[in-house]
Amino acid sequence: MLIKSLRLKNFRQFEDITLAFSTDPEKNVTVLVGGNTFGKTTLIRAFLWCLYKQNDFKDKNLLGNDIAKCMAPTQRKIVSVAISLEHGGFDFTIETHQEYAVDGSGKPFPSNQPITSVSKKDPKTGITTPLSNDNAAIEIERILPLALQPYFFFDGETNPIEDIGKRRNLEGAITQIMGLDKKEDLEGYFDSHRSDSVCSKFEVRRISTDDAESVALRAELERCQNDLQKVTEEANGKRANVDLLEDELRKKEAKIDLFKSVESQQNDLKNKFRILDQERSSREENFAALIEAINAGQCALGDFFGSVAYAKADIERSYSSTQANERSLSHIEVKAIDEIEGKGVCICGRHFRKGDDAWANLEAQKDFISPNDFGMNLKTLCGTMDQETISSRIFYKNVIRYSSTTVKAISDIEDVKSQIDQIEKDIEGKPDVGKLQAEARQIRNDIDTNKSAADYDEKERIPALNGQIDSLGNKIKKLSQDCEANQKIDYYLSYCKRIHDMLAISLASQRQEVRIALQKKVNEIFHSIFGPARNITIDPNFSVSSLVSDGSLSLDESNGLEAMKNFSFVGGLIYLAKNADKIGNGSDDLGLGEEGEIYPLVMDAPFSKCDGEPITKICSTLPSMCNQIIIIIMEKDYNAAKQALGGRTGKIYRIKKLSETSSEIKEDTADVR
Amino acid sequence: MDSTPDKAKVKEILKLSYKTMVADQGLKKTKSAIASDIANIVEEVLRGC
Repeated sequence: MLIKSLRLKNFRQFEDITLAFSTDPEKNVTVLVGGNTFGKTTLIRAFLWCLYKQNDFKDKNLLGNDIAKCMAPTQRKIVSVAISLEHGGFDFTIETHQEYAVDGSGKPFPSNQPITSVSKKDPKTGITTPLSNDNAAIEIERILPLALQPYFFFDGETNPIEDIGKRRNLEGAITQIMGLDKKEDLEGYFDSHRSDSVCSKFEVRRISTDDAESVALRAELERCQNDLQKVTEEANGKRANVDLLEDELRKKEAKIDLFKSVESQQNDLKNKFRILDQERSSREENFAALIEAINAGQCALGDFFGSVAYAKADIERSYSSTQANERSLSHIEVKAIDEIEGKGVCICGRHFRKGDDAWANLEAQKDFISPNDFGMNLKTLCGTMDQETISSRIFYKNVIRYSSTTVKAISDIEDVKSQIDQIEKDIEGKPDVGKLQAEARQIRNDIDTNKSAADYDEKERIPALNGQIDSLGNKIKKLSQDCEANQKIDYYLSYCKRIHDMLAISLASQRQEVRIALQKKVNEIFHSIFGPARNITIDPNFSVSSLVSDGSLSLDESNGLEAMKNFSFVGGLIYLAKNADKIGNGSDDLGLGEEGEIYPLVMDAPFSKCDGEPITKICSTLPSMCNQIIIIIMEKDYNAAKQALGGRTGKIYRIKKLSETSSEIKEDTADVR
Repeated sequence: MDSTPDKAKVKEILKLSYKTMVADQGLKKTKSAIASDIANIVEEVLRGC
């Protein structure tokens, strides 16, 4: 398969473009250069929609927005993609188109299903044959089986080249490329245990005695064959589930990897919500304590004011009982005058004696001194006040403490809330990585469950049923008539068994030869890019690993090394496809198998995860690995690749973004050397 | 009737069966129908032995 051209009409941001790709074996590289959101991925998806009606766009809309904007609800527009290609000595034109309308709000929607037409031209006779709809799908499947397209068309978003080594269904792809799947099918038709085999077709013609035992044995045989078919289908279904789940897991892991930085923000967010809950509880607790302190304080204050009121009443009563006037001595007690009289010396220094005028004057002052209980009342009041002041201080302290912690909790809550708002803003629209990880864990469990169940089917149930079928077949054979017709059936069956055994042996040896040939080629390419320091191994399940020179498995691989490994593997696959008729048919050539086929390598942003040197190394080897390369690339990566691609570049196109909804592509003839 | 399969006949059956199977699969025939077609080939090649 060599792609000659691609035409897009009204397809997403491309109104009408035609790209002719280089098919010159000496200049087999076509480069399309464009920035992010220019429509690079759209081009890869246009191929897949045209060939398989596969629509990987999130919004599923294919009609260009600029065109949709100008449409009236009654109008219809056709979106179409056409590919012209060479395959198996014929020229094919494959065109898929779909009609679009717009609703009342101007939103485009498809008004019919996509239709694919294929025309096949024999260049020798010049005769072109249009193929019917059914035959068109069959022909496309022959040109490039849907299951194989992910190995030749790399969409940087959903099917990046760097994921190829992680794929678990490589075995199926290689089996298909080499035509081993058809050989396996043929082996199945000669498997005597299967009810839909050639052997069963002969067995039903066997002339048996009609005794009860024969009838029962035949019924039992039929039941076992049906069970075998059911169990085999179940096991295949479980294996297919494993493939699907592994594919889903790979995508999920890629997404988790992509949003790794979001994970810490999401964990931080969860933590902040926890802190918010704690702060809220703290606020509630402190507020409750504040209320309690106030309630307790009210009682203490009540006691205080009660005591003060009581003491005041006593003082007032005492005070009113004195004849206080301007001559009153309000700050002296009778005892003080008695002491002065006892000393015979006044505080002014004058000496006196009992009975003299001075003494009589002091005695007279006693009339103006308050009664003793007035002072006592004052003392009591002071004591009460001291005591109540302590209670008041405790009350005050508690109120201050709880009110300040409540206020602090309120302020902390506001802080945490604003931090939460900021994180939520930062991670808005991004997936929940924790949820993705939980989903990935669930998928891993499902994979294990399916694998264990399929293993049990294949290792226990199927062999047991095969044994039962063999035993029943022998019993029936013993009971059947010894006639010429039955002898013939046995004769045919002996051929069937021989063919089945030959196919089984041939398949096992071919798989081994394919694995060795692939490993050899992949290493040849890898060493030419990376050097001999490491080797790539491909195990019996066609899983790819790279080994360091001492033979230990390398787990820590840089993006550049990973890219070199993956490109080498893709190169190996292309080599296998090209030489499918030559590889693995050495020792027991049965004359079955696929013709060798060439495939293009179509890649979107293949170097997005590696830098200058690996790009240069890959690009200097890439053109010799493949018959045709179509590479859609960023300007910076092209600058790194340009020199290494050298004279192998046949065509260069530049994608220009005209607006958010429109791009154009123009050939850059100046840059082709 | 010689019960030891003849190598040339085995290869002939194989080639014809393979071609038939591929063509039948392209026509989306059922497994049972494909098996019948292959059984006819086996019989055809071995007839008269």
